[in-house]
Amino acid sequence: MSFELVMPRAGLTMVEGTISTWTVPEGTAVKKGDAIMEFENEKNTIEFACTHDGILHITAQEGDVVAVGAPIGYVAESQEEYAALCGGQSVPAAAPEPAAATQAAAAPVAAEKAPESGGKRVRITGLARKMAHQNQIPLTELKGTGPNGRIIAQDVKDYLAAKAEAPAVAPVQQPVDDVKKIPLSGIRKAIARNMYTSLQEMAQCTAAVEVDVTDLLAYRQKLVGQQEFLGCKVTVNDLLCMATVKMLKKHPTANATFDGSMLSVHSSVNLSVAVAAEAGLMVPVVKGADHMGLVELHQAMKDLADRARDKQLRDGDQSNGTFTVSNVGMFPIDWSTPIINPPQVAILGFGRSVKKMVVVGDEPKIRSMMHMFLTFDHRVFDGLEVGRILEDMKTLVENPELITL
Amino acid sequence: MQYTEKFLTDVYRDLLSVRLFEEKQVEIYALGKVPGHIHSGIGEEATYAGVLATRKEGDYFKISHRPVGAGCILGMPFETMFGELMGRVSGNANGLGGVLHMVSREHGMVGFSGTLGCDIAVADGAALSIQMAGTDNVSYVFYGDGTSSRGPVHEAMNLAAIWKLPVLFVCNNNQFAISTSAGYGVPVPHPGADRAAAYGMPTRIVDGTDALSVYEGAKELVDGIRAGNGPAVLDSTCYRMRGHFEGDQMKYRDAAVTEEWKKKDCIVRMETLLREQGVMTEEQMQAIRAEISAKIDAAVATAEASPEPTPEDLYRNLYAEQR
Amino acid sequence: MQMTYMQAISAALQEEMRRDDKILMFGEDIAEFGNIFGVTRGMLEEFGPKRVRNTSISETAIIGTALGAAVTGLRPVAELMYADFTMVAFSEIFHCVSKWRFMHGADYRLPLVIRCAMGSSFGAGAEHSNCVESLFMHAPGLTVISPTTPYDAKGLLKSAIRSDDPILFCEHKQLYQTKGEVPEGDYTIPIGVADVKRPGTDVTVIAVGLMVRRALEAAETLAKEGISVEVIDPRTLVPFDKETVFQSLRKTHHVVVAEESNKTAGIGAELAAMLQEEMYDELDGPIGRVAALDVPMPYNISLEKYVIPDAGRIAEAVRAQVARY
Repeated sequence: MSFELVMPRAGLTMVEGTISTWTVPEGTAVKKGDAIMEFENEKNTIEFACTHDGILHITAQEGDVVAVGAPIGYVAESQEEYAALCGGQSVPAAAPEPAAATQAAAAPVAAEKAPESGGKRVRITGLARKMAHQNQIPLTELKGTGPNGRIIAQDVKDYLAAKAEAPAVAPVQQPVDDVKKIPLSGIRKAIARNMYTSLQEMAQCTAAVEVDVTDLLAYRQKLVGQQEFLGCKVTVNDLLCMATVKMLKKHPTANATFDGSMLSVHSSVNLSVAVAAEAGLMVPVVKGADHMGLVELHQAMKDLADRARDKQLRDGDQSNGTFTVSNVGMFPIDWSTPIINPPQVAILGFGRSVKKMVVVGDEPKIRSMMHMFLTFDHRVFDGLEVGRILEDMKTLVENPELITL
Repeated sequence: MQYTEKFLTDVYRDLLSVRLFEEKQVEIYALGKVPGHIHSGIGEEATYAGVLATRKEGDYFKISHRPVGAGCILGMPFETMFGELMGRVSGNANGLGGVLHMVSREHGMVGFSGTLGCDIAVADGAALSIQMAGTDNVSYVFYGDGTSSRGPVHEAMNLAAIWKLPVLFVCNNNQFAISTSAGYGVPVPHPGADRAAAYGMPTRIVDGTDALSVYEGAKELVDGIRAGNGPAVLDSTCYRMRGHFEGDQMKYRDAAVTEEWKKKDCIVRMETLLREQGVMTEEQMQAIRAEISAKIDAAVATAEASPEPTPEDLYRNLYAEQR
Repeated sequence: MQMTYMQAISAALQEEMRRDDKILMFGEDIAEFGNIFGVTRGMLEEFGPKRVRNTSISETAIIGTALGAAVTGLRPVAELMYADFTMVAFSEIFHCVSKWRFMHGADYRLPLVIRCAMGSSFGAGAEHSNCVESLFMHAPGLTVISPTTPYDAKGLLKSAIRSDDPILFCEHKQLYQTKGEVPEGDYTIPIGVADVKRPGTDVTVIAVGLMVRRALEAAETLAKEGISVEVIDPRTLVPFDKETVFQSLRKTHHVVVAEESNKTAGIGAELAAMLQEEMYDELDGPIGRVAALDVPMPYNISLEKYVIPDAGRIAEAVRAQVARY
């Protein structure tokens, strides 16, 4: 009998390994446990310990990248078997089951693409291949009982018969599916491109915190009471944006843009505000938000939001932002993982506020709670800075008088 | 022998038709209008013109590759000949046979082969048809001094002789098999005549530069064949004026000898005779020449205008029956 | 009625000669002698010396004459005695007969048949035992027929004689004395139609010439082992009846080609190549070939038997088709 040697899995994330060197030559008599080869995964160079006694026949060469579970060679128990292996009859009489299973799991290739399977050629007749294709059976699931382990038509029939014996699953009546093709509009295309690029090019990570907004809501109600004096009806969002501007003045690295090598920290806050318009997401920019009082900020945001919804934004209205806020609190959304608006380095989101039983001191209290969530570019920030940002935001939101100070 | 003016004029026309065809062939070959290679038969026209003057309705003809234009004597249209020569659909084989297969079945031509010699017995087969039909027709077969040494020629002569088939074997000795002279390649002076005795066939040796000499020798033999005496061999000696193929520098032979033979050119000899006997004036001969040349030019133009065969034509004649 | 393969061929020749006086035959020793196997015995007496002619030993002249006679309106049946002698006239058959119509045009018809006796016959040696079909399958323009039963031989020879295309008609020497049922009266078998000599479901055996009988023998043995063999006799090698073989293959998915000629570049080589090109998706394994060993036919009789496939070798090849490992 001869045994297959396969690329071992050596680490959680390892899906393939590169053969560095065979430390013994082709045809060597090897023993189980001998270090016969070195391979590399993404982290280390690792010794491969032989799994059987016998004569080594190498099939994967130095430099080859081999999927975990795919064969790298064989160990033959006799010279005759070794000669047969070298003559191209290289499939062992009985491939070890676990290896085959790993291989199938590692490479579940569609039937028509299957001749290459983890670097191993599938031997199959023309008829059997056609039948497998017609029945949508991956070739890796078929066991060949023909000459040289070739998969023949009977193997496909056996496979189908075994399937038929398995508990029958009621056929699902597929509803008629009318597909309507909608080409992307210009705005949608731009959004698609920006979102895709953003996630492709940055190391984005999201952190969230739940904050108590009971006092913030009360403070807002108080300001609403002064509507006539102020000349506008202040919103929760106005206060949250104002708080964000305050936070940014304290954390200038978040009020920044990054080109991959240079971080540009901006002295002025140009606050990008995500607006959900029917035509698609708009992100107009409140320029110089750090120089505005609450009323000015309210008016600036209202103007931009109205114009965004009416498709009246002008050139430049969406440019040069330094940080983005995205408030989804009007929907039943607690939190999300917003996508950074490049070349900015972070985006702050606000969820809905919900009355919850929370522990205040050691007492259960009903409080209005809300999530804030910050997606940041981990290339620029680490957890420390993010923690401090969220800590300051929490302080501001839970002590609303600090916002307008 | 006494000849009528019509006979002499006809022989002259035949000679001239073949000569002008051969010259045109050389001309358009040089212009790149003919595939493959050609074998000029200039200097060898008298053998064909003289022999074929003995023909009659119902006779069969197996010509050879030199002069390949001899089919025009039998009535094959120049249009078809040039069509085949130039590889066009208007040729008898739609341009798929080529220079060695310019034939017309309706004019009694049985076809011929470029393998030289493998087709000699084809004339036996045609003669067998004549013999079975019981007519006094003749099957004419032309071959050269080179081919005369091939086995199939001898098998064909042998079979014709034992079956007393009405075949006239015409050995057109142009004295060269490509570069090998008949003097070297054939152990007897006359490649046709000297071998006839082996098969008990009558034979005549004629001057292949003199159409009338050829005719007279052929006439005697053909009369015997038509009378039921079986096959015969005519041995006609002429000279191949050009190389085996175009571009052949002919270093294997003496240019002075070639010049001597040119003086005996069969066309010149015939024209001298016609002039001396007062059969035709120079102007009349020029008029015939102009008339044939015009036909040939028109035929070349027609062939050039004919389309090339298409891939479908490849299978058109492969089999007679649908399959 | 029962008659031998040779009697069937003789009957076809006689009936056709009576039907059409354009038909005549010639070859070596076919007149008084009646052909060395006796095929044309009595024909000279019936049809006379003009239509039944001896030739000298002149194979090239026989073929050339047949060609010229056919082109000028006769329907000759030329006989080359041993199929091996087709080689003597190879140029005449390959270059002239096969290509004549193609080279000269549609006015040229070649209604001629070349008969020859082929195959091994107990010690005939290297130059008198060849099967030549595969050599002439390489000659477009030629039709190649190789019948294996009296019924097929008679019906196909009649079709061949009536065809306007040139035909090489290969008769197997070992079959001359085999008997079979032949109906009374005139009938023909179309050229280019194969015959399923035995229906089966597991493996298709395409057998040529003598191998048809041996394949049937093998099929009998294999039936006892539970292997159902379909034996197809192509009867005509050119044109080849692909559809009958394809239909069989769609059922069995396994095929073995059995022939008496040498294996290399033989009939099996051509059929295997054609089948994998056109029927790859129906094949459930490699195509098997059973053929003579690649040596000239030995004179020694036990070695001759060894070189030519027998029923056992065909059965072995069939078993390999359905073997599981």
